[in-house]
Amino acid sequence: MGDLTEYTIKRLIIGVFIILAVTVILFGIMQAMPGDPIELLAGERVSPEKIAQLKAQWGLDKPVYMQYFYWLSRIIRGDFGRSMVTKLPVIELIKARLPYTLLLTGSALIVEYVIAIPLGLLAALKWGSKTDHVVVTLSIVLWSMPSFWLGVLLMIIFAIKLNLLPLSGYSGLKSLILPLLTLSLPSLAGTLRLTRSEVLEVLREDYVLTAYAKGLPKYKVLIKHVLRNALVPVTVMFFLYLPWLIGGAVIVETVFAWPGMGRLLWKSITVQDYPVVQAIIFIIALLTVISNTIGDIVSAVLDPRIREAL
Amino acid sequence: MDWSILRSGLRNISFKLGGIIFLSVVLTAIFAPIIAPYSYDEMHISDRLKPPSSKYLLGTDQYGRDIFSRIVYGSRIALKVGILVVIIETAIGISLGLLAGYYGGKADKVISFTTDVFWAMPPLVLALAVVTLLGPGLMNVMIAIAVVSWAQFTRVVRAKSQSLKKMPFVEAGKAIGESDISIMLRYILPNTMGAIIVLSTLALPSAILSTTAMGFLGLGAQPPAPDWGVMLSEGISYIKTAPWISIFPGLAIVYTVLGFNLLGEGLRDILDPRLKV
Repeated sequence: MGDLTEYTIKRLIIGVFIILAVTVILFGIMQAMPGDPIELLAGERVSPEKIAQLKAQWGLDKPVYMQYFYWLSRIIRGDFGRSMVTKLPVIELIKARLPYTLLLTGSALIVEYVIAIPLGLLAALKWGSKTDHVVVTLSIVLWSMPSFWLGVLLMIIFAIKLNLLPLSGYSGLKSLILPLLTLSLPSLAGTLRLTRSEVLEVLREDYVLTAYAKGLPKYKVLIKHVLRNALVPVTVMFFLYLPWLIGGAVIVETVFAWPGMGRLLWKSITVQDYPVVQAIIFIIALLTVISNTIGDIVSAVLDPRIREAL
Repeated sequence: MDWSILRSGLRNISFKLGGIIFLSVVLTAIFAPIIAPYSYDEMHISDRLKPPSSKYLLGTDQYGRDIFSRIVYGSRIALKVGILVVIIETAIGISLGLLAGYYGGKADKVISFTTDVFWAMPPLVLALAVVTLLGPGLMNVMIAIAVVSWAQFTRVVRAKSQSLKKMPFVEAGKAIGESDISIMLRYILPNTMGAIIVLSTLALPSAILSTTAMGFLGLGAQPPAPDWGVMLSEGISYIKTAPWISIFPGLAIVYTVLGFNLLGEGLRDILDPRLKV
């Protein structure tokens, strides 16, 4: 297991560097924003002496790289400053909304996998047949659907015409169903096609042919050899998809007035509440890098060949 | 031009179907003033929120504007945005990929790390950050989307040029004293074209999806522009009484994006089957 430990450590170090790079980019974007944060916060009637004092207090009189380290040490402690609109601590705003976003994206991911893996497997086993064509075509159509349109369509059908489900907002788990479908349906195409192509590839491997030749029953070959190997990349994809779904959640949460972090991000952008925008983007980046790193380590655990690549 | 490619293209169903949709969108954009019965911002105050009829094929919106005409003109925005975004991102992606793959060493390390950083962020979220910086508007959204999506081109071009630079014909070019730039542009680049064409055909629909999403969020094209995403979001307030305002622009997006995706898939099967994911 020596090379696995080494791989894991290397991968973690790279992850830390990527997060640092992201913080530099975010800090740079904030620096480039129009307007002086102190003057914006203090208003116009504050004396120049007071402004200088505030700047010293916030470390804004120091050189830019020092400001970056001050800022970095603050966000490591979870201090993202205060919202310019509501004046509340940013971290409190996010804490109230993050669970809703994780509920939405987490369940969307599960639904996506529950639908995509069996369909992908089916298409691969019936490769070239009508079933295969239907599944593949369906996945391209879903892939081409903007989630905001699918969301509106589902709203019209299930909330307005049939009156089965709540239109928007959060009022219990029933209101999760439509946002969940809107988020998972367009993105399940990726998992479906990955499963299909991986299974197709493994089916052509020598060890599968050998297993058949040995006279193993078909279902045993499928489970022991085909699925076990084909699902390695599919499992890894699980971790790589999470951040994409959080990105997609910005739109879905906006459509359905879902009280999550994505909608908060959108609202903060429209009112130019920069501290909130910065904090949310940082948290999404952090979640992304963490899940990418987990994904890479999981794939190294499952497939020894990958460990040598770094 | 290799005619066998075209011939195998005509046998490929998704290439054929995608090609027909692509042509229909391009022709609609070119002949928009002829096809559309009204202009995109002409208001018929007495005909507000009218359902589809023979007078207004797809109904009218809250200002009495003809939705069909607006969708027809909207194809110009979608195409313009898609093409410009793809041009910018291929330009960034190809040049970085060539530099990283051809020179290797430090240049490669820096470029690959940058690619990893950009790869590590959900593109839509990063684009939102850039739009926050630049401010809303169609031009800024196009820049934002291009800035966040070049990385896939860099990855493919880098990998291809790494293997191509060991080829005998590149060695020969070096031996006769060709400059690095000329080797990259005349020896390596043409051999990555198949992959680049496929990737950019597939990048076009995703650029259209992202810009309409930005329009939907109110950050992209601004009203009264007949951007499909903007039209869709305007319709949400009338979703109970006049659902057609949102439904039809969305259908236009699906039609266009589906067409380009099919075309891209077909091209990939024909030009470079190994790129298949």
